[in-house]
Parts: sequence; structure tokens; C-alpha cells
Amino acid sequence: MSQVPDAKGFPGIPLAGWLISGAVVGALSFMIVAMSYRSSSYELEKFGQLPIQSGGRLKPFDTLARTSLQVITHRTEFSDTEGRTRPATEWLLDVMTSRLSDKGRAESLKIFRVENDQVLRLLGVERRQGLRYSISEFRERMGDIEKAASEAAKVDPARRDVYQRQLLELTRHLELYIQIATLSIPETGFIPPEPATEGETATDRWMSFQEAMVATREGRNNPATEAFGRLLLAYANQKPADFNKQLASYHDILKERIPESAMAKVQMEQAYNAVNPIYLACVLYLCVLLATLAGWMFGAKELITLQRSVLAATIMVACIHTVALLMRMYLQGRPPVTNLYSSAVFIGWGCAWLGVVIELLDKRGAGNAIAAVTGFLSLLIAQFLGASGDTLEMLQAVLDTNFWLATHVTCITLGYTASFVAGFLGIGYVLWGVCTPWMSAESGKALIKKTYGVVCFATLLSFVGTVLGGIWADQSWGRFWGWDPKENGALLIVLWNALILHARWGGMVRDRGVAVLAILGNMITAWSWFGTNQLSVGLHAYGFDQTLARSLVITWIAHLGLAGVGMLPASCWWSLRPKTNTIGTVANANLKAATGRKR
Amino acid sequence: MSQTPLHAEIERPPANRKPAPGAALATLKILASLKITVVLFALSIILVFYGTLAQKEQDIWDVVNEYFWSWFVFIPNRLTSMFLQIFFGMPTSFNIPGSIPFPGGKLIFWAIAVNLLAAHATRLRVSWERSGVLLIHGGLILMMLGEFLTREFAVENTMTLITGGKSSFVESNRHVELAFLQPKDSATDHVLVVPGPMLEAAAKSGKPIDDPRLPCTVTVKQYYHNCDLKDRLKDEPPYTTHGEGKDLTMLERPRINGVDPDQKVNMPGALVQLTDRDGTDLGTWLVSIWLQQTRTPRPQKLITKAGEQLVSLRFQRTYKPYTITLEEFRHEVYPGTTKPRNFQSDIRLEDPEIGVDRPTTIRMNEPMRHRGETFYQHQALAGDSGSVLQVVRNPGWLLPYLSCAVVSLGMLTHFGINLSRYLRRMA
Repeated sequence: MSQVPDAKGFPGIPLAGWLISGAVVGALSFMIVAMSYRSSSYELEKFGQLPIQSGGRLKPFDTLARTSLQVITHRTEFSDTEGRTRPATEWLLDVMTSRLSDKGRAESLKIFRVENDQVLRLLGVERRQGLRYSISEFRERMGDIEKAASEAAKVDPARRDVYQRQLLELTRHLELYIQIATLSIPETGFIPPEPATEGETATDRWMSFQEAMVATREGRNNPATEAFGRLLLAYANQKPADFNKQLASYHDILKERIPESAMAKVQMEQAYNAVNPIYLACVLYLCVLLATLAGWMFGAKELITLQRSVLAATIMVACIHTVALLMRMYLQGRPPVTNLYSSAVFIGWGCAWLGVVIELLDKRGAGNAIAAVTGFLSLLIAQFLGASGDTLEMLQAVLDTNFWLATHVTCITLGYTASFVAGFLGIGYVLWGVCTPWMSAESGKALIKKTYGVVCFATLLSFVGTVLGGIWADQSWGRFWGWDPKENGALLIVLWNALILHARWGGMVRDRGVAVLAILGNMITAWSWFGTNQLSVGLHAYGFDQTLARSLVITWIAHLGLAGVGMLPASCWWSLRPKTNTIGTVANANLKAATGRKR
Repeated sequence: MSQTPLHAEIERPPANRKPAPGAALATLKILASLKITVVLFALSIILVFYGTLAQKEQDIWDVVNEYFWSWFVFIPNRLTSMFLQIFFGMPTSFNIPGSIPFPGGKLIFWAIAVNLLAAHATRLRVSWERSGVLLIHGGLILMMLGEFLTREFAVENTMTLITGGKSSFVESNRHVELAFLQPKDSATDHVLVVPGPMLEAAAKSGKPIDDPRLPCTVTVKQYYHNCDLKDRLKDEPPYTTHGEGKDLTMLERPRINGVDPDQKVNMPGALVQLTDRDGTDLGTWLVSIWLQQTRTPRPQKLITKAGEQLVSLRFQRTYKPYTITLEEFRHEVYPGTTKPRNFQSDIRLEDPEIGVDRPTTIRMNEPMRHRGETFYQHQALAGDSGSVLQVVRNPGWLLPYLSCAVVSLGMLTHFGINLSRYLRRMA
């Protein structure tokens, strides 16, 4: 790449680039994080750091508050009766204390999201902006709702219509609300067990507040129960100073019972929630994309300097993403991928860094664009997948092996990653060549070389990942290959990548062909990632996700469309169109290079 | 897409010179064509895709036999319709009739093998540059060999153990047999079995199974691959004249399909009419796995001229020279939840022939190996009253490990050579 000016600094990024990008990324991060900060006379953050036992692990109240509110209202914050945005912990406390005082305002908070008109009619409320309603608005209709819901529940899950699905979803949300209000959430304990005295066997199960109260009434006094009760009362009576005092004393009791390291982990999780680095990175990737696009508006020389600076920003955002990933790994004590949510975070991470590598080699912004687009999209998918609950959940017994999670799962997910990056490079090539006049023969070739390299990488990773999966299966139930849908999905990726490589080696496809095949590869990867899950549970509809299935279809259609564009005859490619001006011969050379046809 | 002719065609010698070897070589070169490779890849992708869809309605073993271990398969268009229904919201009434003939897994596999060998014979010369490709292809052949060995010789069985109990036989839950058991002495029983497929065939043909070794002739009136037993209602006539079936009713259930997440197995059942050797009618009997796979198996007592028999439909058994005792079964959950964290069987393995008598532990991801067989923690019995072990004998188990290493090494070499060449050119 001879036209690249001698850049100083590491790695080929001028110092000014680092500084400017650092300032911009820093300022944006500060703004985004600061915007989510809400002050309160109650020490809500400190309350949010208190540990509870839920889903088999210790987690902060903050996580419970956010995941519950997310499920019910699709946000991790809410608007109070005066329209101010308030944090999830405040809502949780409002609901938890709603039965302790008649001053409670939990029932008048508009948090239940209802979209369906028929359901709205059943609730007896008018459709309004935001689509969120409070219990006090439909309390009288509770009986009707219950009756209608039990009717809907009788229908086979696969055959339920939108109204029935949404009605049942609403009742599930109401159920969760009531569980929180009555302080008896399944698989969740608020009160830690007392240290075992002599002659007793230690238990590691925490009690729900209900159980703890019963124990107190039976004379088994637990100081934690009392302290927690006082804490709730102080909140119910709206006495911030008292609340903060009780909070400190409850915290002291917990400190004696819970090891320091566990306590620190829970506090770290609260901090992770508060900063929300995944969301942060998601927004910043979008900014990187805009900067890259802006960079392309300038001429060649400025472009390289600007894209170098954007690369600095990309690296910083990818670092934020990396920190998020490492924090999750530390919190869970597991390799990066343990569920669908974390696979999205990890795929985004891999794509971003692969984009950085491509940019380091290519220097024209393609790598930045790939990192930004894939990083943004995968984190968007993660936000969607994470909306259904705890993303740091404990693993089923068969998955309880860090060795295989670290090798097979990581490898196969990196295989997905590389396949996606190849696909997006293909998309970039097609859009660049068809929609702009700027793709020169040399730069187009360079992009396809990158695509080809990434396909090689994808073949290797997905093959090794697939076989490691087979070996894991052999280790855990004695069958190397079971033709199970998920295994087949992985096999399809391997076969498809092998097909691309062999088609290229055999001269059946040239640059445009590789681009189109790589684009189609995205469809196959998406199928393996999400489609097979939809299939295996399609009959047992509890796991079948309508939104996911629909998004998958949209993805397929979009990619088919893009592949179709890529298959347009060369004369329709703006960059390949023979030009009558002085650079006509060059353009013609482009055409030949890309199509392999003699004219 | 490309107009470039295959070099097989470019290099084809003129027909008039050295016709015999030339023609053979030309044929070989055509067989070695990369175009064929790509087409075969495309075909296998389609096959694997439909083989996945098919698991929604068929048992996984049927799918493997029909799609992947066959020469040809008729892919029903119903699968395409189903796919469109699930993802594209087509109405459930939407159905394309008919089916499409398609090459099966065996055919594609052999075609790939021929294509690959032809390529190595004609095109791919042995050189340092090509070492990666050689390793990849060699490793793949090894892997296919492993899959073949597994398919032909691997045996998968289960051993069911109740806590405190012992067992010295394994069962195949894909095969059943009708057993007539005659206790000989305290240590041994005399058992005669009729294999499941024979029962099925007899149910279809209506002909009785008459074998001089059996204590009686068996006429199969009904045979269900998967059934359920219900208590008989008061006003219903008795289902059979003898045995347990007098108070039960047998209902047919659809066969378990391949993607059932609960990993259930088919529970066959049959209604049989037994006739003694001298022609005396011994009545109708209900036999089913359900009567056998309970905590208290209920073999039914049958009196024949040859003596007292216990009759039952059971999973096909294989007796082993070793005995396993389940000393303790552990099912641990995450605190405060019902989510399983660990399943573990603490067992004692006794094999007097080779002087083994030791306690050991089998848990998830940590199998035990003994006498060429591998024992895996498979399932828990209802109420954690015991454990089910998967017992697998697979002579080809090492090949996947080996081939994986070889292919990975090959890819690293090949792509590494390409990458270093690319980087050198960039520099």
C-alpha cells in the first residue's frame, strides 16, 4: 500500500488521532453513563448492591430490579407519577413495600406495557402514547382478565393469536408483580441463612422474606430478618434518613455472613449494571459507523488520515466491549459463551477485533465499517435477547464444564463470527461496487482478498469447533456425531465455507461470486445460530420466539436481496461501468478484473 | 459465472494420440473436477438441511437411516411446507404434495471420495506447498472411516440401576423382545425371546409365530411402537382375558420424533393371543414396556404344558461378565432452585474374571471405561430412586480425535502458507 503516508505512532495511527478519538470516545462515554444517573435522598445505589440469592447464585438487588422491570415494561427505568425517569431499584422498593403502607404508589405507576387493542379493551383503558398502564387503571377488571387468560391458556400454544399471546404475557407480568409485592419470588431468597451452630448442618439456601417471617414467629430469630424488615418499613414510611441508617446496619449483618469476595462480586455486578458497558459500546459503534461514513465523503488523502483516527476510536470501543466481556466472565466464573445472549456479545466482540485487524491491513475504512456494523448489530441482538431475564444464569449440569465451554463453544462461536465478517465484507463489496463509482479494480480485489482470508479463517474455526463439539458429545454421552439440529447447523457452515473456497479455487467464481457466496453464508450462519433453536422447540411452543423467527426471515430476505444485487450483470455495477472519459480504459480493466470476461 | 474452461478440458490430449491411457486420464480428470466438488457440497448442504427439518416429525434414527445412511431419499415437499409455515407464517393448511428424489448421504459421500481421490491422482501433486491440503483431505478420509466404524460396529445400550441394587445386563431401548422366562434355580433363569421386528411382522401378516423352541405359539393381534396404558373404566369390557391387561386399556401414541427435548423413548406394547403346544387356548395377554419399566416390574405368570412361565415385553437385553452396584445416586441442584447442577452415580464395579472389584464414580462429562465399553451418566430414575447409565462400545472412538488433529493441522499449514505469502506481498 504505497499511497499510505508515513504515519507515526502505534500502530500507524498518528498521536493526534489517538488524542482526538480518546477525547471524543471519553466525552461520549461520560455523557451516556452520566445520563443514566438519578439522584435520590434514599441511598438507592447502596441498596442495589445488597446481595440476594436468586436462580442459584448471589446477585445484587439491582439485577433483580432491572431484569424484572425489563420483563414488565421493556425498559430498565420507569417514569414515576410526575413523569420523572427513575431507576429500577426505586420501583422495586415501591412494589416490595406496597403492602406495608397505604401511601404506597406502586399501583399507580404506569409500567405494564400493553400493545394489543383487544387486550386494552379488556382492561377498559384507552390506547395512549407509550402504551404503559398502571394497575390502578384496570384493577376492577382483574376478574375478567383472569377469566379471559384461563380461556387463552387452554389454546394450543402454537395456535394462539396475537391477542391471546399478549394477554397471557400480561398475566405473567402481573404474576411477577404480585410475587415481588408479596416478597415471595420463586427461586429467590432475600434472607441469608444464619451461620450454622453446633449440631446443625449448614444450609446454603436463602429464605424468602415470607419464610423468614414464619421462622421468626416460630421463635427462630434471625437478626437479618428483623433488620431487613426495618429497612422496608423505613422506606414504606418515607423516611430517607432512617432508611439509610437501616441500610447500613443491614449491610453490616450481611458482611459477617457472606465472604468478602462474594460481596465484592455482587457490588461489581451492580457497578456493571449501572455503567452498562454493552449498551455503551453499542451506541459508540454507531458513532464509529457515522464517522467512517463521513470519512468516505472526503478525498483519498484526508480519508486515510481520518480513517486512521477512526480506527483509534474503533480500538477504544472494542476495548470497552472487551472489558464488558471480561467482567461478565469474572462475574460468572465461566468462559465467555454460556447462553444465546453471551454468544451475541462474543460474536460482536470477535467481529469488532477482526474488523480492527482488517483495517490495520487495509487502511481504507472497510475494517472500521465492519467493526462498527457487526459490533452494533450483534449488541443490538444481545439487548433484545437479554430482555427476557438474567443473562448470567447458572448452567445446566451437562454444560457444567469450563473446559468444553472454553474450547468447543468459543471456537464455534468464533466460526460464526468469521463467517459473519466475511458476509459483511461481501455486502460491503457489492454495495461499494454497485452503488458508487469509487471502487477501483485494485481496491475491489484487495477487499475480496480479505474476504477470502476471512472465509479460510471461518472454515478452520467452524470445522475445529464442530469436531470439538463431537468430541464433547463423545465424552458426555458416548456419541461423536448425532445429526442433531444444532450439530447439523454447524456442519452447514463448514460445508458452505468449504464450498466457497473450492468454487474459488476451481475458478467457478471470481471476485463478485465470492462476495455473493459470502453474503449467502450469512443466511446459513443465522440459521445455525437462531433457526435451529426455533425448529427444535417449534412444536413445544413455549420456547418458540415469534419475534426471533420474524427477524430471521427479514434477515434472510435482506440477504437474498443483497445477493441478488451482487448478481446483477457487470454493466449495472456503477464502479464497473465502462466510462467514455479519459479513465475509460481503467474502468474497463476493473470490469475485466471483476468478471473475468473478455470484452 | 465464469467462462474459464476447466483445465481438465484444456489439457485433454488429442484423441488420436495414445487413445487408451489418454481417455482414462481424461475421464479421471473430469471426475477430479472442482465443479463436481462444489456441486457435491451444495447437494450435501441441501441434504443436511432437510435431514434437520425431517427430525421434526420423525425419530432421529429413522432420519439417519433415510437421509444420511442411504443411497437415495425421497424428500417430501411437506418439509418445505412446514418450514414455510414455521418461519414465513404460511397457514397450517398450506401443503405442497409429493416428494423430490434426492441423492442420499452414502451416494454423496462416495461421490466426494471418488472426486477427492481422482483429484489427488491427477491434479494435486505432492509438494511442500500442498502438504496442508494433503493433511486436510487425509484427515477427512480418516474421519469418514471413523463414522463408518461407529455406524457399523458401535453399540449403544443402557443399564438401569436402582439405588442399592445391582445389574449385570444392558438394555437397548431401541429394540424390544417378548420374553418367556422360566426360573431354573436360584442363580439362573431359562429365557426365550421373540425379537420386536418379528412381532411387528406377525401383527401385519396375522400369521402366528410358531417356533418349536417356544413354550407356546404367539399370535400378535396388535402391535404399537409407542403406547400408553390407561386404567380400564368400569363400563368398559376387559381388554384381555388374562393377566394385567384385564384392568388396563392400551392406547396408541405417535412415535417420538427426533427433536423431542425430553429425550423420551418409544414405549411399545402388544396384544397377543397365546396357544399352548397342544392347541389349548391360553387367552389374550397385554404386554408392554410400561409394565416392565417401573420400580416394580410386573412380569405376568403363564401356565403352559411346558411349565410355569413369566411373560413380558422388555427392552432387548445383553448379559455381561461384570456386575455394577449403585451405591449412591446424587442429584445436586443450585441452592434455592430446582436447576440440576450435577448427576452422579457412585458405583462398585465387580468383574471376577479379570479380578476387578473397585468403587468408582460416573458423572456428567466424566465417563468410566471398562472392557472397551464406556459408561456415561445418562438419566435419573423418577424421584432419584436410581440411575440410568449409557453403555457404549465403539471401536472407532479414537478416530475422530485423530482426524480432528490432522485436519486442523492441515488447515493451519495451508492457510498459514497462504497468509505468509499474502503478508510478504504486502510488505
